[in-house]
Amino acid sequence: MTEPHEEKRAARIDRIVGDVLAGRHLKATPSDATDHEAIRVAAALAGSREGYPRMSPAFRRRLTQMLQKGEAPAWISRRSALVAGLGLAAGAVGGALASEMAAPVSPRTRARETVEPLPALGRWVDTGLTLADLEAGVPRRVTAGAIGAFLVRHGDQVSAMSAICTHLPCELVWMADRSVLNCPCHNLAFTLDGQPLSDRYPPPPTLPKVRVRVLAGGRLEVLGT
Amino acid sequence: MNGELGQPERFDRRPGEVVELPDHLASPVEIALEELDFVYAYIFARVGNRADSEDLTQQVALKAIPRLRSGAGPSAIRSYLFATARSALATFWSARFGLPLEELREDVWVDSRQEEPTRESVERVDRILGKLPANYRKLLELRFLRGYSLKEVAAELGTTLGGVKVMQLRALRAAARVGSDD
Repeated sequence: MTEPHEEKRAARIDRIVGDVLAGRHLKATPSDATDHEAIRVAAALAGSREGYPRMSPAFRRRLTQMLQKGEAPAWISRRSALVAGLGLAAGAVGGALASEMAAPVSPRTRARETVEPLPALGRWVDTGLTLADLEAGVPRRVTAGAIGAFLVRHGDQVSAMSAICTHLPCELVWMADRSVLNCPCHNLAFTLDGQPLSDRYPPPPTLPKVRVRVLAGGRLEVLGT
Repeated sequence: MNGELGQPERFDRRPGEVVELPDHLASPVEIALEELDFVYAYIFARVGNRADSEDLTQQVALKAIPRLRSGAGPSAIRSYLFATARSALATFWSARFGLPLEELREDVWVDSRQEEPTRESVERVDRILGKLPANYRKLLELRFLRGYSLKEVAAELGTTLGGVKVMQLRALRAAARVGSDD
């Protein structure tokens, strides 16, 4: 047996449920207070139908734009000012965040992309070093125009990686006592494979690889500018 | 050797200038933006629709992110974001039903330290459904989890549209009672 009042309530609750299931706003009002727990259960049931609900790309973009438009905390500007000489400004921070937010991400498991610097007007630059100048496990810092790199010897091979920290644009320095490349700005270290040594979250990208070649006589050239 | 461009340098010492910067690798904003995915999922698991989930996630971002300390670590940021999300949800329900916050049962469905904040919520829904009479459980599963329209549910259960609406109300009320004991 149903009472007219119950039918009316049932129709009302179904309108609320229909909206929620269609992705629309939950339009409960104080007149629904007596059924507030039933409505919350309905919302939770609707919320459990997606295994892992994700922000839509459009919403992610809107959120990013909103955060870029000056709502960012003041300390971003302060931090940016500290490295202003290196050309990083709040916009650059925002831009980096924007690119992260715009792309589909997988929380916690996302791999941050490392981009190899390829100078548009690149040319092979003699480093002035030969293979014999490199000691295994001891990197040597070289510059090739705009490219700063560390060279590392692996037997008869040489690898090279960027000398700039991937979190803030600070010059890495070789810490011989710890056998790491250290960022003096954050006391963050990288291995000689370019991997960040950090349990902090999220990890920064690995150091970009720089192209290097060994010529006759062991001469070492780096692709620079 | 190219004397102009290829000067090797040895950097086996720290530069003289020490720059004061936040102690943490990732900025609080960067961490917070990562966490907003979890916040969104947390909210969606409670309000069940995209429109309100987006509004509330945006509220949380606007309220919490400007207040993050520059030295805050990931766990502190996560806790603050989820505390802000719980507060936003409480205000949301309070405004909808015109009820004071203290009359709304505290939302303790999810431990914000969980890797997947929606998992516990989904498990709780399963537990509640499991405790309902079979006809109520079937109705709610068809309607909410399998996306049946009310007409389709009525056809499946062999009842009228009006009848299934009433049954849905009763099933939700029963689920709320089970949930309050859970």
